[in-house]
Amino acid sequence: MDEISVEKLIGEASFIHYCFRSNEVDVAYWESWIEAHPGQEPVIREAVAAVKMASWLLVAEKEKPAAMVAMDEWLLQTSRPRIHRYAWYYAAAAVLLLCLGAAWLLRPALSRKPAIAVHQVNTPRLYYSTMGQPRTGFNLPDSSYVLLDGNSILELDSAFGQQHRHMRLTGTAWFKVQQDRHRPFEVQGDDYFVTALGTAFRMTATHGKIQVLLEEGKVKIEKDYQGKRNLVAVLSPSESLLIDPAAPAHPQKSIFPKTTLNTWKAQEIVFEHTPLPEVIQQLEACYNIHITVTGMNLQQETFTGKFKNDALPAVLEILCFTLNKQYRFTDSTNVVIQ
Amino acid sequence: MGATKQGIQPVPPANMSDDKDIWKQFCAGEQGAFRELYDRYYSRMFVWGCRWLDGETAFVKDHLHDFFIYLWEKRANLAPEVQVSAYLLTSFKRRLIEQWGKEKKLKDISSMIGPVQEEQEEMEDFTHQFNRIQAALQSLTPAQREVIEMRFLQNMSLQQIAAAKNTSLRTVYNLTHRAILQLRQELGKKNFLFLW
Repeated sequence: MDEISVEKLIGEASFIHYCFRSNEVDVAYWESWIEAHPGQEPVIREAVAAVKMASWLLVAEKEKPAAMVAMDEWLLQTSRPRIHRYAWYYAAAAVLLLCLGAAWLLRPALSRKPAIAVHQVNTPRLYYSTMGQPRTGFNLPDSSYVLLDGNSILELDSAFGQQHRHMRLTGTAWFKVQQDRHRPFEVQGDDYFVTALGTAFRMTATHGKIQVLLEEGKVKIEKDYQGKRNLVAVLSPSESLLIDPAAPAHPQKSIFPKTTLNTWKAQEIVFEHTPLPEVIQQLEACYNIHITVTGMNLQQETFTGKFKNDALPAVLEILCFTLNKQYRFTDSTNVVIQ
Repeated sequence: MGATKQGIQPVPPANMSDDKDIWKQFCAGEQGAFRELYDRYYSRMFVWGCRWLDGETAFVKDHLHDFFIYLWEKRANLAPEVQVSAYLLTSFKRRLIEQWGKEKKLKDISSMIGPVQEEQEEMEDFTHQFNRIQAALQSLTPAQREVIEMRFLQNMSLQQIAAAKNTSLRTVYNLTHRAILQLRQELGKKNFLFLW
């Protein structure tokens, strides 16, 4: 092994052991090798540095999400006592008025586009609208899943998925966020930003009111005030936050029962010639189950049906009747359709 | 091979001016900008710190958090016009080594800090190296990354990885082999650009 390079060395298991001093035999081997080849020392030094840096970077990226949360929590603590209560309310009231004004101005323009699902507006921005439509479920480009409630709008930023995942919500939506630690998932409602790292949550943004219910994971809520973001809260699972500029109190977190979101998700499920893979995905999201379909080509089938507050067996019954299939529960969260 | 000067161009400074704006906003007291700064520099400063303390990751982690809090608290006294990355790296290094000296009751830490005139070059070398290692790791698939983590961080053998992932030795071998190949290619590519 006379010709060595940084690239070759990092592929050598024994060399990795030498770098971390984790195996005495390998350490001894490489020490004597270096002694015998003093000319190669710079290459060895560089390779050791590369291996160590790579491992530290792996540690750093592992630690980072928790470190960000710790920093947010610290910021939250320090910013709280500094808020001047009354000034804040007046500001909030002013912002609310502006939002209402803007909402009122935008309204007729938006409701003129009742057509469902994806619109490519002039600017390369993805636009989902359910104005005058029932609730719809779909995947975002990053494969996060959204249940967009009726009469709601979700606008994706044109650069969605490149550096970040930023979007604006008017109305209500439930998000099942695809994990991606490099691109935070950020939903803006009025002046508030809700940022998630691989979580499921429901958010409502209407008339200046913001409500967030966290199902799993963690989200943080920030408020934009004159271009500056102030931390409002960090939520843990089953916590909700209601921000109502008209209410006299500072927004407080509260706990909601697990059934709340499940009930909401089952409130309205509408399929109209919906391809079967989407039907399955929405049912999985709405009832927190996993469905396996065997013995048929999902892509070729569509399904039409309307469910309002129906229990899962009733929904599966109708679905299977239409498809001429049978379903069975293999356990409480797994269903097989065949 | 045809590595022209042009090949060296696209290194990083795309967001340098961006950094400056964020820094100014942070000095003006914006929490969002502060958070952004922490987000942007976390990994780089973490690795930079580990380099000076040769892998004392837990110590570096704690002091990186404290360092940013210290920055936030004295933001009013910071110069709004600085070379952000150089400022952050230098001041973190000093503070970190000072704290380490206190913790370990070292009498003389000046040898650890090293001469000032070499600092600029050191930071440039580090930033180049860091960028290329980051790019190399980013080029891995999640499964490849996982086996590399198991090998590098947990020092697991192929057999142990196979047992942990509940798959065959062959699969792990192939996965590791592809991951290492990928790393080598990425590192080699960048290496080539930076060194020649």
